[in-house]
Order: sequence, then C-alpha cells, then structure tokens
Amino acid sequence: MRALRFAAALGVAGVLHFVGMQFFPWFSLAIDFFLVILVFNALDGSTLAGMLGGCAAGLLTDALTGGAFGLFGFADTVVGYGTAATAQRLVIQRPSSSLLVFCLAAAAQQVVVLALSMMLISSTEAPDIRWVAVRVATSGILGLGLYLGRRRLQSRVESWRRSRTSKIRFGR
Amino acid sequence: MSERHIRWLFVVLLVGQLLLLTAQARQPGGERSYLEAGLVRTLGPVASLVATIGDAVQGVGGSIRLNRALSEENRQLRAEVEELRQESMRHFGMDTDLQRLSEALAYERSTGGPVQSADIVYIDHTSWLQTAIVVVPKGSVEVNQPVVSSDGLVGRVVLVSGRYAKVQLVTDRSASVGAMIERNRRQGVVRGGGRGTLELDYIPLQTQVNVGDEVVTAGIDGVFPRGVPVGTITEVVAGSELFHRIRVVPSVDFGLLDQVFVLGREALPEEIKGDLPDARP
Repeated sequence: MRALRFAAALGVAGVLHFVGMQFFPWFSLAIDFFLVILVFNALDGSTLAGMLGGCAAGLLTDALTGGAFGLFGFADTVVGYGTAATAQRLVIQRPSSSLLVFCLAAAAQQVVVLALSMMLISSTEAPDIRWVAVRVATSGILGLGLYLGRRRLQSRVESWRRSRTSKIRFGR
Repeated sequence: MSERHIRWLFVVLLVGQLLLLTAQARQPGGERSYLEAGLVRTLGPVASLVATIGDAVQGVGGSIRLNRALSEENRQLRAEVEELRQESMRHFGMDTDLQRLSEALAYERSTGGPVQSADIVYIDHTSWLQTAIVVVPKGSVEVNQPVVSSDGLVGRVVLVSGRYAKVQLVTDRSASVGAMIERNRRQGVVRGGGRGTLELDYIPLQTQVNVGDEVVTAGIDGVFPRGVPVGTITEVVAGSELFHRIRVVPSVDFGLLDQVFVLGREALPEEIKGDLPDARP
C-alpha cells in the first residue's frame, strides 16, 4: 500500500515536472519534485523505503536528463537512506526542522551529483550556485508545505475518528 | 528485514549504480541500459500528452476559427521554409567542395541519407545535463544519428525506445563534435560548455580566429555529416601555450525548438570503430 502511494506520488511528480517544463524552460533548474517526494517518504524513518524510494526517484530523474544513467539514482539513494537514518535518530516534528531536512537533502543531492560527475566526466563544471540555492530553497518550501499538509490532514482525520467514536458511545 | 540486511542492500545498490556509471564513462557513446530505455518508453507518452495539452492551453485565446486558418497556413509555410532550409543546408559549402573536388580527384564525399522529422515532446536545455525526448516512427531511428533543426546542429540520438528517442543536446557537457571554422577550414572539437554555450578546442594559436566566424561540423567524427552549422564564435582568448580558448554561441535557439530532423547516415563499420576509440563524440 505504501509502495503504491509512493509510486502514485512519483507519477504526480512526473506530470508536474512535464507541465512545468512545458511552460518554464528553467523549471528543472529550480524545482525537483522527485527529490521532495523521496525525502518526504524517507522522513517516516524506514531506511529500506527511503533507500528504494530514493533509487526509484533518482533513476526517473536520470531518464529525463542527458548525463550518465545512474548519476541521480546514486545520489538520491544516498539522500533517501541518509534522510531515513536521520529521521530514526532525531525527532523531526517542528516545521522549521523539516524545512531544514528538505533543504539539506537538496544540497546533499547536488554535492553527490557534482562529485560523481567530476569523477566520471572530465570537463565537468560546477553548476550555477544561484540556481542551486533556488533549488534548495524550493525543495525546502515544497517539503514544508507537504509536511504541514499531512499534519493538518492527520489531525482532521483524528478529530473525525474521535467524534465518530463518541457518537457511537452516546448512542449506547 | 533487519537493519543489517538493509545496510548490505544499500551498499549493493550503490555499488551496482557505480558499476553502471563506470561502464558508461568508459564507453560514452555505447549502448544504454534496458532500464533507461524502459523508463523513457514509460515517460514518453506522459510527456507527449502533457505537451499536447500544453500546446492546446497555450493556443486558447483569440478567435478559434481565425486561429485554425492561420495555424494551417502557418504550418504549410513553415513546412515549406523547413524544406527550403534543409535543401540549403544540404547545399551548404557545395561550392567550396566542388573546387576541392576538382583539385583532388580521389576525394569522395559521403552521401547523406534520408531525413526524418521528429516532434519534441520534452526538452531540458537549461539544466546541467541537457537533453530532449522526441517522437519518431518506430524503428526509423538509431543511436548516434545526428539531429538537426533548420538553424543547425541540435545533437545526436543516444537512446531509442519504441516511438521515443532521447537526444543529447550539443550543449550538454559530455557532448563533443568534430567541427571546423568555416572561413579557414581549421578543424577542432566543439564541446558542450553547459549554460547554453559551446567551446571550440584544439585550434592552434597560429590560426587567425575572429569573433563572428561561423563554425560548422567537419564530418570527421563518424557521426555528424560535414557542413551543418554549429554556431558563431563570440569570444577568443589565448588559452594554453598551444591552443585558443574559443567560445561559440549555438546557431540553434533551443528555447524555440519544437521540431527537429534526424539525419540518416551510413554508420562506420564496427571494425573501423573499434580501431578508433576516440572518434566517437
């Protein structure tokens, strides 16, 4: 069920990516929906889900880029596993800490991709730092939005459940 | 699954991907993985659908009837212009070639093959690794076929999966093309400089290079035919002790591309390719 939810989320991320690229040529520089989804998935603290999710999201990104296949797959696997391992050890409940996690994950992904590219492609240059900053910021903001959205949804579901239970008791 | 097993799986996944990457680094123009082909085949229809809807949304506004008539007329005129430009591209440098032919009787120019038009359904020309996905009739395109537009060189096909082909743009950092300065026919190698520009390498300091000189493909790399416009020189700096550092702006505006042409070309025999490992871009 969880894997299906994640696959659906990746599908939505893919469609949003294509829509964004259709209208804004700079879209892929600024926003990485796949990364946001994989970090959001890994925040549950399951290293297996984080790692496999990262691998899937990264390979999807690789299919849409012109570089070596596996570059983003490797980076996102590391990011997914790292995020899940961090979530196991730290309690990430505040919006500010989740914002930080998404931002750090985006920065880590860029660092791993750059390091791998430098090892594999002789003429690699560092990407424009301004776009990296934008990408980190948008990942943080989108991740925070998702995180707050889920919290709100959970509290609504919880309150609905409570009211449903109290009504049944009242009926008795 | 225990944490220990997960850690092992993590290591295996990373090593597997590293091996995949290393194999590609050793063979830059080699075969792509089936996984990548499968993903492109899966993502292609989604990209195609989004592109169709996007075009429809962008087309809304103004009178629909007028729009249709104008669109039809525009389509016909564009097709005509594309045809004429292709024709002009084929004849590019023919005069010079004729002169050279008369001087060297043994000279033989490779003939061009059929031209296949292809619609772009996805293009990313701004990010770090630049690529495009095009729709082509199934089985009509092969890996390493050159891709051009009416303005000049676009890139080459790096992966074909069903009706979809992935094109490495010439501006991609890992792309390189055998090229020459059209004015003096000095040959060098054009490399993708990222950020939408190109660099022309291996032009000796003794060669006079001017800003504004046109750069065209040299036809020496076994992939691209000779004479396709690549770009215009915008900056010349004395680089190392031997070569100029030359910046080239591509002749193609990738932001305006919606249709490209895949050039049919007789591939180099495998036994010759094997002897020339550095000939591939």
